Amino acid sequence: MPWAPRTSEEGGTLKIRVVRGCVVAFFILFALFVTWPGMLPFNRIRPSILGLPLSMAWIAGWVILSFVALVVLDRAEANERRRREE
Amino acid sequence: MERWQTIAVIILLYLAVTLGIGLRAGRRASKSVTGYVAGDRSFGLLVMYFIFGATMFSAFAFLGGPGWAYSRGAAAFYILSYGVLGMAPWYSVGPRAARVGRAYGFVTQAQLLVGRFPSRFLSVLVAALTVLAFVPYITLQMRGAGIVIEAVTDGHIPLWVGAAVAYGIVLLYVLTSGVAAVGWTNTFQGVVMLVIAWTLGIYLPMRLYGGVGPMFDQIANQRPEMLTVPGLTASGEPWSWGGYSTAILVSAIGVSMWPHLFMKAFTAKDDDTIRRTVVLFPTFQLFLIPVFLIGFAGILVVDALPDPDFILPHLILRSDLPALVVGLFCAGALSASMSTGDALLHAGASVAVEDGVRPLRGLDDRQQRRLMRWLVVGMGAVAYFFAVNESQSLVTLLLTSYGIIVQFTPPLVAALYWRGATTPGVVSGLVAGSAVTLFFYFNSALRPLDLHEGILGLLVHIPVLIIVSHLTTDPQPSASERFLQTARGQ
Repeated sequence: MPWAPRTSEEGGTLKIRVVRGCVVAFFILFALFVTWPGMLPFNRIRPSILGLPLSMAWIAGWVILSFVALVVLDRAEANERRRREE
Repeated sequence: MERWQTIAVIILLYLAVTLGIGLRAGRRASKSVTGYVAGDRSFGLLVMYFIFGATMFSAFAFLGGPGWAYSRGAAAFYILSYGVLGMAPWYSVGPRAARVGRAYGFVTQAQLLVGRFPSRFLSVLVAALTVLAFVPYITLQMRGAGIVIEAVTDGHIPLWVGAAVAYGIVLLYVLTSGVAAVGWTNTFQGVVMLVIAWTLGIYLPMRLYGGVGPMFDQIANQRPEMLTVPGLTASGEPWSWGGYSTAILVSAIGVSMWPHLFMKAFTAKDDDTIRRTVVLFPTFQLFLIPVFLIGFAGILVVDALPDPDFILPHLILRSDLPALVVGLFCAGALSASMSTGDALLHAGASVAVEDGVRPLRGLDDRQQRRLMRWLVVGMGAVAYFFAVNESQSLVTLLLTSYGIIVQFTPPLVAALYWRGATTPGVVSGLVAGSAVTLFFYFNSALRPLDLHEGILGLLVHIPVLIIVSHLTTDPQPSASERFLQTARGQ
């Protein structure tokens, strides 16, 4: 991509490291918030979301956010591989 | 023609189509062992996606999921929680496994392990544990198939006949065409499952309660304990947080280590295919939402069923749906059971031969294929025995297998990531972890805080692996270095 600003070796590596770190942190939080004790504050029936009890919607929400997190990671990794091949 | 007969005809037609797809695919695959086990390493994204999805969402999700939601309420949410958590690390692990698989020609997990940690004992141990973990899993799928057929035919075809017929067909195409059949039939069956699950998940709450929201309002009024985690146990007591949380952990840590899933890394066309499968995985996981809705729909309208796993067929048969839809549903659930069952039988036999028998005595290609086929039949027979004689819930059967499977995680992660791991470390960790798991499985009253026995096993396994590895030295450091470089893609 000639129009993209060229990043230094460290800069590109730093960026992918940050993305990886954030995704790993996201999944650790996911694990903590769907098990004891992180689940406790959200373990209620109301308010209901799209008709689902909060407890179920809470977990489904994490699954949907995972999709976003994985798409972001995949984009970043693909860029990183392209950069390394150049 | 009576209604159940019409339904039975629809199911038979469906099975015929499945069989046709499987046998056609088989003719195209090559006849070598690599062709039989790893499908010539040529699956594209679409097939991989549905293989993963359909293999994971088996009778376990289709019947067991609603069964748990119906009888144990929010306890079922553990299933929704663990899948993505468990698959996300595969984004990194999968391509690594695939790279060493391509470079060294591995087709099984144990070969990968032994490639890094040379030990015939390790290979045989992994093979034995794999077969041990697979038996309850195959049993689950067979019971699932039998349940569907018995329920839909109104008891005219009992569980033991239904399970035998469905698995006769599975055997036929696994025996004739290996993994190519598994791949193409799963693609077809994955599509059928998804469509039917969403249709029923919306339709049943609408029909019985006037919508999803009104359904949960009524459950909240009459059975509020069903809607908050950790839900109930099989006997209707409140489940423990320790049991619920470690059910998520053990399943998440173990899920990508199932040999039939792990070995898919060796069949993938390239690394991008594996990565994209992981990225798309949450879209498959959301399919559990309609599945749970079906189970919840039963809570207020169906009095306690002797076997809660029958709830889904029970509900659909008492609805006024046309026979065609009921038949297709049944086909979807059957396909879920059969697609996982075929992958399991195939992987179990491959592992037993490649890793359990071959390290001990040499076999030529033809002998190996023949032995594999005998083992497919043998494992099927053992599982069939338990399917007909055991009556544990489908979800409980799978959760039990996870105790063993999760013990494969530390050695495989060590093989692909940790320079310092040694053969004695890995072997002693695996022995200690499996022993502790089995001990607490047979003495479940001794488990502290109701923690899953597989997690207790890991608590011993990991320290043993690390400590013994530190105390011993790697006799071939350069070979290990090369292995890890290959894994990193350098």
